[in-house]
Amino acid sequence: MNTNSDHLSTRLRDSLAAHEQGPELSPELVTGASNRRAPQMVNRQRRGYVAGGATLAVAAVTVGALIVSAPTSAGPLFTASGTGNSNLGLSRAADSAATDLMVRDQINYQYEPGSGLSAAPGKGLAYQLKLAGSAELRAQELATALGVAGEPAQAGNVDPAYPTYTVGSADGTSESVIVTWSGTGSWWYSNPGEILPTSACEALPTPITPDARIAPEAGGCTPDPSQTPSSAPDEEKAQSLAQELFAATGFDVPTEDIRITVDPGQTLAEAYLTVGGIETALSWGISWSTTGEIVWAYGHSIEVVERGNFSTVSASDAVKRLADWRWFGAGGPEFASGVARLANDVVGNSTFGNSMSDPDATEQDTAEQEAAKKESELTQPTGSPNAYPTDTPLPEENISPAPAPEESETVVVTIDRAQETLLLMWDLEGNGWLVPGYAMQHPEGWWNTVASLEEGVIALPDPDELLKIKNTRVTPQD
Amino acid sequence: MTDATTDDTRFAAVYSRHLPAISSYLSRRIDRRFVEDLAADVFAVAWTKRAAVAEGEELPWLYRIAANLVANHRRRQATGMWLVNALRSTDSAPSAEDIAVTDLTLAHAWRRLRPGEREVLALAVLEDLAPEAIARSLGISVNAVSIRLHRAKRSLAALLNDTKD
Repeated sequence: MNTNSDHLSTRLRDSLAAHEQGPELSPELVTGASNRRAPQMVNRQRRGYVAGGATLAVAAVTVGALIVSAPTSAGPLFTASGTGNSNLGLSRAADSAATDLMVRDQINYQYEPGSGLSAAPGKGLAYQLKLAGSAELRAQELATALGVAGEPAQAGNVDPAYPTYTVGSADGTSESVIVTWSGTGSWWYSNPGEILPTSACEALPTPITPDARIAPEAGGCTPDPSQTPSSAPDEEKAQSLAQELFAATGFDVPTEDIRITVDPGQTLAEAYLTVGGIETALSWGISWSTTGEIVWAYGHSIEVVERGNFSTVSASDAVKRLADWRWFGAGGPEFASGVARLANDVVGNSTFGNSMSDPDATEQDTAEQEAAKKESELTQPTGSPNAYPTDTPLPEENISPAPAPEESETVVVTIDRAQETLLLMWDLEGNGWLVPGYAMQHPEGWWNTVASLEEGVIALPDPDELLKIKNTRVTPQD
Repeated sequence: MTDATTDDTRFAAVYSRHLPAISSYLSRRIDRRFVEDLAADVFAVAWTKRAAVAEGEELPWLYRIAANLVANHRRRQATGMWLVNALRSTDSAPSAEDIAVTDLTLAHAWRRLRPGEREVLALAVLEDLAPEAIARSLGISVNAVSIRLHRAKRSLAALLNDTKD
């Protein structure tokens, strides 16, 4: 028995006591299961298989075209949703408004400009990301590019305003390409059969592999790279192959702009949409397994439309916007960690720390795997491969006592560094925009990103109205 | 009685007893108003794959389905990082904000854990699953569960210590 460990467990249980009991569910959820359409789940970590050079036969389609349109003469460019979500912007904005208030109850961040920030206003171009073509056509184009056989089929059980087309396997059990016609028209492709060689996977009991659409952290096959020599392309080859695939799907990007990450389980290629020389938050990606096959790929279906050159506020003046989630926009990869933290602050979705979003993750994970291996050797009882190891006793001082409920706390954050960039924002209809903004570095080193457009260029949602929407929304229980 | 009816009856008999567990699992991870809908999806998926589940292993398998649905649900709900992270892994453990209601220090530490560490701790401590069941739920070996759980506890304790400092 480990007292410290028990104390920690008890503290965790106590902390979540309010959430311990779920609502009583109707038995009809079970008895009616056979009549309910099971959701189409897609493992977004496992997508993409390209039929070799066949992709080259497809002409570039929609992405990256820069179209200039006349700036608006009156009225705001768009009404920001205040969220990073392309779908159902109004609904999501309402959720954010409510969550923002909940978070504020505990910590009140007060942002102050430091002496290192410029007080000079400026100008910046804004762009609209418009869906190009049609969902069905795009699905067919991508299927051809990716070597997927079949005709586009519209997915049921989705909002008709945001149609989704699938070519290939509809249940995720074999290769397929899916296009969702909202936001940036994101697409993804998967071939679960090519995820990993059987020999490189831990044996999984059949009952727990009901489908191949499993989030990586939720389980699936854990590769043991030492068992199988990797046939994944090396960095140079991966860049070349990725450029070909991206071009085949309509995204033209220079080879040198494609980032390659090689780790024992996969080779990953990523590239970001660059507009005006600035990398944006919009990315395309491909991953190869150790078999050398592409296991997933993703991208978008947009054209970039220039909507005008607008006045921007100074970095110093923009600092106060850090406290207002409605000015938030997603920055490029350089500022992704800040995006993650800000997103966490806003919505309580703890995605920060995700190894895939951490540029140091590969190295760190490898080191941890080594450490875990050593730890396993130290703690694993011999002769019993499945035995549960005894925890190393934790020092008593490592466990802090459960604190009393804390009062609202004000934290003053002084910002001394800001960098101009382009930020991805969503309007209330779910359309994407790239607008000028600042990435502001916090004293701890991470970044927050806020739009820098002058007041009035875009409209901001009214938090009170959003809360009304949230509070009056019909829920399933209603 | 037809085969289909027998199948329905058997499914209902076996799976109905897991309704409270699934409800609690979902309630700790998503907004309450989505619980019923996601629970219905959990059982709908379970129905389609029922033949593949060994007797006695239904609950860990349901947790696994639920974890996938929670992760997908969070992707849809997430703001800010939607585009950046939509195609990357999203964990399905309880959020730090749920903890923050009563224990801010623990919430800060919880947020800084890796997603896999949060999930394995949640299954062990909150769902009270044995390592074997966690292994089935996460689709990893019992050894991997043990190591991950050990590391998660150690990490959480260290993070709490950091916070205290």
